[in-house]
Amino acid sequence: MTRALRSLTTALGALALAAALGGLATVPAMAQDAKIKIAFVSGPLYDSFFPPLYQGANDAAKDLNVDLNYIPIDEHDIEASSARTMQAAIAQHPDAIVVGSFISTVVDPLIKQAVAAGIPVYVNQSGRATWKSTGAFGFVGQDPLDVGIIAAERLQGGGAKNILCVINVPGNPYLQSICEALGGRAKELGIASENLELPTADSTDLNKVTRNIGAYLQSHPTIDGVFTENALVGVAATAAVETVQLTGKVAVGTMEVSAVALEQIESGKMLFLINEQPYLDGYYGVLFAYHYAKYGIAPVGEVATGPSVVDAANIHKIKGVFEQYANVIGSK
Amino acid sequence: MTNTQSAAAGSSSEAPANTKSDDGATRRRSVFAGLITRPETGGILSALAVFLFFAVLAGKSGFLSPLGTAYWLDTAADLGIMAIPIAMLMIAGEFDLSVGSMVGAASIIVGICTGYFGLDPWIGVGFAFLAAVAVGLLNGFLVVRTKLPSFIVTLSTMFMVTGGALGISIGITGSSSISAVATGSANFVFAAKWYEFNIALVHWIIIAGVAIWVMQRTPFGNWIYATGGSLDTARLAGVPTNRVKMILFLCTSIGAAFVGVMETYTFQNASVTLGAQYVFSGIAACVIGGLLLTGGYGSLLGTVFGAMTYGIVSMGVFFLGWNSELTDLFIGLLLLLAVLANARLRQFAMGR
Repeated sequence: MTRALRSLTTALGALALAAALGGLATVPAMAQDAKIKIAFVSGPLYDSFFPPLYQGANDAAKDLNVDLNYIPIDEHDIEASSARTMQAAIAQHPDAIVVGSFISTVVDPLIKQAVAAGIPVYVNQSGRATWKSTGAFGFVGQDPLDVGIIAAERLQGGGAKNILCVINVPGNPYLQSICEALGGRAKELGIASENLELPTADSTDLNKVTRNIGAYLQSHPTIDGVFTENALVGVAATAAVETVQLTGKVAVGTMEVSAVALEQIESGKMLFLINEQPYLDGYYGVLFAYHYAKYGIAPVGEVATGPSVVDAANIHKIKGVFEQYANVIGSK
Repeated sequence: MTNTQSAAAGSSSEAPANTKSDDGATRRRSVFAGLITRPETGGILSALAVFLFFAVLAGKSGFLSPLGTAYWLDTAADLGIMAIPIAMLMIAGEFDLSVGSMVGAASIIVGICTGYFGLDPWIGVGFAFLAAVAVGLLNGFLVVRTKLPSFIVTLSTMFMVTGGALGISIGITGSSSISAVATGSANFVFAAKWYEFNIALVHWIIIAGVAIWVMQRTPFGNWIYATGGSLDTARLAGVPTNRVKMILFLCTSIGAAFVGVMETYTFQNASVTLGAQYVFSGIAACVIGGLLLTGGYGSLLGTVFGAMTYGIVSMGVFFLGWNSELTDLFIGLLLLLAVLANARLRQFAMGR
């Protein structure tokens, strides 16, 4: 029994070794026949932004017959887990890595490491400012600065003279840079702006977020425009505006899509939302990485998937698609 | 005088009766000592102190307005409902770190049933409570059977519950956040509000009242104190300590599910991550309210005021209009001060 087991183990070990050696030896030659392996490091599915991105990546993997491994980072431990997930991706030695560089100081050195190890890397969704210096072959996503600029312009168009920019994940440089860009554009337009960082402890409790924004609006009566960086926080903002009885006086715009946000744009409670189109981030991320790994070709430079604005002008089309297809426009 | 004082401190509930002296000053001092050594006094004073702080500094910008009052009371009520069973469990000498994840699990179950499948809102509530019973029994069973620290056991169930809820939610709906609107009686029970005062306040008063009665007037209450005070002595005295713990783990889980359902129907959106903060704020409320982390000591009335303190601080900062980047720092600092003052007060009262 024991001997049988031992010889079985030896046989298996030899097999595994042979497979590993064979694999190593034939990687370049195999590229045109074997399934392309892509590791996709991006956000967690508990954040409502990411399910459409995940869906897009999966749809592309299915359409292209790609072996996709989606590795989610943990937002509550964003620095450490950004490093861990990227290291895990490198360790698997895929044909290409697609990565969201949320914390570029942590992720960029690892991108360089992957590139040095011969794995092509495509930067996705986050990391537009620094991707060129990492050796990555391209970027698909949006420029956060554009989001802030468009938000300031749209809110000013809605009559706002003092905009409150709500940051729902404190310390997140991506969200912070959007509010900074909003502030910069507001200054150019001759209007005021300020930031509100929600405490970490409240970031998941939307009733508390509603109260926080309501309290801030009541104690800062000059605010007449609110921009939020998450659709649920946007709905919390419209609820707060209603509670403080400023409906019609405070315009609200948000990033991201949700069912309620779309309804509120239809009914006029919310002025607009900015969709980064995360489904495209996921789909193109896999598509471009696949093309590059298989044929060595890819779009040159950056592909912008956003910001795309949903407002009274296009709400019917977008809402229809949202209701018909799960996780294409946004999470339901 | 010192003797009288320590005697009074020793049996706090009968402090005035123990003082036989006719000296008026000593008598007053002893009444004071009797009050001050009650476990809830620190919590009450903390709540009062932070309330005065914000009333003075933020009263004009709306903290004292009906809206400001409703806001901090609502925050305190959500936390308070969570904190009552957590406090009972802590008095019995155990922790439950899985409460926060149970809030999110209950929320997403309601979201799947009500929002995704469009079932009657009560069906979602039923499934949420069933899940809570399962998690509570699992926690209790693991702690009682394995004798491992509940801190570790419930830490692992916390991850399991969140992961399980996320997996089910993504598997069925493809999303981790679903809108869920309650109608009819469910809407009233879980999401009614008068002006901005949520029905959670009513639930909080009822739950706190019943729990305080249980702790002070029933054998089960004594069992809880005995289990946390000295487990072996309690067992030798015939207290069914395992059953006490099982029941309390059930209570924390069900309390969490209740808050999860309430918050979901109030905001009309279900999310797996809802309530993750309660693992910290729930314990904070208990400790501000005078509970000892070692168990065997504390009062639920103190926990009520501990939750109020947290509600006032975490809501009040938004009326101050200070730099919002410092909000977290400020909340932490005020909570630390409240706990420190509480401990100091107890030492002072004990005559040390």
